[in-house]
Amino acid sequence: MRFLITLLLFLYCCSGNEKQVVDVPYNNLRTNRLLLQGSDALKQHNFMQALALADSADKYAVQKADIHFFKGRVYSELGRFSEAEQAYKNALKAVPGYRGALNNLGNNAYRQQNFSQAIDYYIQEVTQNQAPIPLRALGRAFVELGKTDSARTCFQKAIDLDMNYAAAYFNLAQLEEDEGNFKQALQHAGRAYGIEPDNLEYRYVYSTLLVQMDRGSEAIYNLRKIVEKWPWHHGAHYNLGRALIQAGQKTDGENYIEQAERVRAVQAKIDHLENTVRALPDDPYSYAALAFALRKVGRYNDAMHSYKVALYLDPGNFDIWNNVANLYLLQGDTITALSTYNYIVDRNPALTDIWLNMGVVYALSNQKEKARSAWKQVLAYQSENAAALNYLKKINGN
Amino acid sequence: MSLFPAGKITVFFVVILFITCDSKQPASTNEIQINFTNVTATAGLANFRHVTGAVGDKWFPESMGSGGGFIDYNGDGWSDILLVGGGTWPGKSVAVAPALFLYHNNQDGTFKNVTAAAGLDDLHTYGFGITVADYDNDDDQDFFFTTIWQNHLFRNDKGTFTNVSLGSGLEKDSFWSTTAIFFDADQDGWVDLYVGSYVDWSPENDIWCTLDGNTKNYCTPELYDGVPSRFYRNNGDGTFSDKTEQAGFLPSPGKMLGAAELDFNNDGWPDLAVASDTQRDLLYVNNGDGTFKEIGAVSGMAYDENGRARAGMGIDAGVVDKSGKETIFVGNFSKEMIGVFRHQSGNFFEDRAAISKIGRPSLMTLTFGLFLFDAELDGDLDLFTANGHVQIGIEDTQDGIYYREPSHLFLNDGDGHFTDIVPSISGPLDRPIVGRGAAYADYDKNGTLDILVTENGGPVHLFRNENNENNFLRVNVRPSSGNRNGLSTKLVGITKNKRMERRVKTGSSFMSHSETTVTFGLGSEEVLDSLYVYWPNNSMEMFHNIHSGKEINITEGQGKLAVQ
Repeated sequence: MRFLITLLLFLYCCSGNEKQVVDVPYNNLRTNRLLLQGSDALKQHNFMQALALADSADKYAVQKADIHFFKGRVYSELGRFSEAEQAYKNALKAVPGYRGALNNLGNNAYRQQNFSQAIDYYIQEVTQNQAPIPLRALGRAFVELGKTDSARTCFQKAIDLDMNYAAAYFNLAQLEEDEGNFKQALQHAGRAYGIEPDNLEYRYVYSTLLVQMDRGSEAIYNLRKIVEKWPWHHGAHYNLGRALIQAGQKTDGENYIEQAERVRAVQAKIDHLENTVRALPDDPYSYAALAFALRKVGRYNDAMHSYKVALYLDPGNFDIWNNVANLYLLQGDTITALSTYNYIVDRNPALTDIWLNMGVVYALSNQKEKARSAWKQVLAYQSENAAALNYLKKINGN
Repeated sequence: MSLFPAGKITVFFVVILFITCDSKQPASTNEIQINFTNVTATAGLANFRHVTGAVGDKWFPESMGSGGGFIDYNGDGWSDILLVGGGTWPGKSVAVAPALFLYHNNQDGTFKNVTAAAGLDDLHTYGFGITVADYDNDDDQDFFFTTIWQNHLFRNDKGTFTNVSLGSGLEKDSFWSTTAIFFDADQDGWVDLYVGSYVDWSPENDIWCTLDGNTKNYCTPELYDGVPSRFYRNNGDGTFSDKTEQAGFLPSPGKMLGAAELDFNNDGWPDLAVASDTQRDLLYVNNGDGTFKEIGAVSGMAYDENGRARAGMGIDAGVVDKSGKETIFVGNFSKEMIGVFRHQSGNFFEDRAAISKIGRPSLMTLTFGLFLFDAELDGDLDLFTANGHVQIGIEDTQDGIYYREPSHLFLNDGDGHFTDIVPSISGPLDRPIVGRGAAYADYDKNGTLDILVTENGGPVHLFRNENNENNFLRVNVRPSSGNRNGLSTKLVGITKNKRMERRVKTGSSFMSHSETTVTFGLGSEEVLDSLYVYWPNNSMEMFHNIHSGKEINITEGQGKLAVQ
């Protein structure tokens, strides 16, 4: 039973935080366990592992819709839309009306900027499942096509179904902002922010509305917090600058606006790399380049996602594996970093840079013997490696 | 049994609502007294075709299009038409396209191609924009022509043109130039020249761009380094000196596509607003001596509300509401609002894109040409935009976005709130085109302002304004000692209910030139109660009780009006 509850929770996430009640025979515990493991792997962006677990679950599944649906999610995360579409359609074939599948097909279409098609899917989902999530998604698609009246109706309807649906308030706020109705926008943004006070995006939009209403002094505290947590966010820098200027702190404000320009230049490069991966979805190096840029600005989770997509496309690329391991280190996950280094040298022990890195990590975590061993491995392949010799000299000296 | 017994019925209503709510809500057609007729063919302009030179390489400049506009080349008081033909690539095309086309206004609603007679037929290049002014103060209209290579200065010699680029000081640089603007930055009586530069592109450094991962498509400017624009001081002897750095125009990010002259701080010195593609827009405030300081980012007009640089294309500025403050309008890419920034105080501007009601309707279109004019002669400046995407087949990859797009005509309610009336009036403005340059003039001298729009790789369109209900007054100015065109002269017209502020200027829009005659729309008023003329030298003259329905000339210091 615990598995069933957990599975239901897992499916809750499948179509975007929506409760899933699948009116079909339940799968056995083994299938459910494998799917849950797959879900964990997906959270870690371990796409190959997630798909492998789904394949394993497939062997034991009483009904296959869950498996197809899960695979659809994995492919969606990978940006492989045609595979995802097929998987969701398989889910619908196995269980007509499988809840969330049409919604996710809509999401796929939305991400490919096929908004009309997305609307078709969302309406089908809403017809079967009058739930806030597909209604909100439908609203967003209407926004993209400039059909703001329909969008507003959808967001409002989603809120009618879930009074605490922060995302729908947030979208309403954006809609009203674009229409120039700042007071209403502020109300909606305030509601979203009130429901999810830790959500920086809601906090940001709430703050920018204050700036647009010439109430910058009220936004300074929040914008400072956002800049602290999102140092890569040029909009936060820019609006903090504007807010400070409005509050009479001209010099400080101008400094933040200058800083915003520097941050924006970096973001422009990331935007370009994101466009590149959209245009070249099978190119691992495009994803790796995007990951590198994201890592540089401190967006580690996004960087990891991109590296893992790159690895899905090129699983034997040890340069990318090495970058992944380094990123784990930056994230403070020494154990996974070391296991990743080990994974690499198990497959190619001649990669001396990896041994070097391993040695450093071991040394930093005070595992001197392991550090020595790693650096000696370097010397086994390159007896004159200056870095390894230097490290060994230092560690032996200590 | 369904978990939601009433769900289907509710959803049915929801779906119906989606459908019924999508109807556009334009202004009632009963209230709209304006219409345009496409007179391109009857005017004799149907044979013109802009040439991109495209032969399949998808070279970046081919997506840009070019401008055109109005010039009274023979001084007869009637607006003639000058168009940029585009260009072809050396070694790539059999047919070499002419760079310029000049059409003489026959004063009967038709035009005649006089390119050869005017001495403009022997130039072959890859052209973009024009700007028109009397740079040598000899009382005729000269023009400057930007290209992807060397730019050209044409001196008007009684209706024929001489290419005087060589030795002018303007011929040395060979960058991709876009919009240029004449204005008298230092108010010495000789118009100076700001020349916008775009990116460092050449066939040799062309980058392979794609939308679908398979086929090459046109690149966007992020991939290329920007080239800073240049500023040339008029030496008063037919030559210009590059004073880009000395005048404060460096550093700059380049990628400039539009420039508008304004005086937002009312200090009597011309400032400059610049639209930049994927870079921050720029605002150059005049230091009061013909040098400038760039304050765009700090002023609040450089970015959208999230601090994002947009794809700035066409630009214009004017007073559009009762605040009396200047507002800057900047055309941007699809999924980006047209920028609307009203001067607040000091050096600060407020973003009014959404409040003005221009932002949302402009999100689905990619705006190039953009200008303020009084479309229905009611005394308020309205906004026209020429739209068209840069990617052929964009509709295949971006739902809701089209390569050919209708124009926008945002009518002003008098207080800076606008309604796009194109969906209501339909007609030629509603017809999707690949719009680029746009300019206005009263070519048929009936008092209404007509529109000229160029297409990329396509025809030119002349849209005759059919509004003849409202009264008007048209004014030409001539300073006694300053630049002959009276550039930077501010005119304020007062009627019982309106205060109308206008400026005499070149530039604005996208690589195009509109007439410099100022038109006051008087609505049903038959008299302009007062007219204040603020000359570039800061002197002021006023005139009273000027009857409508005519075009008048004012020469500084003479204290009288001459009816044309």
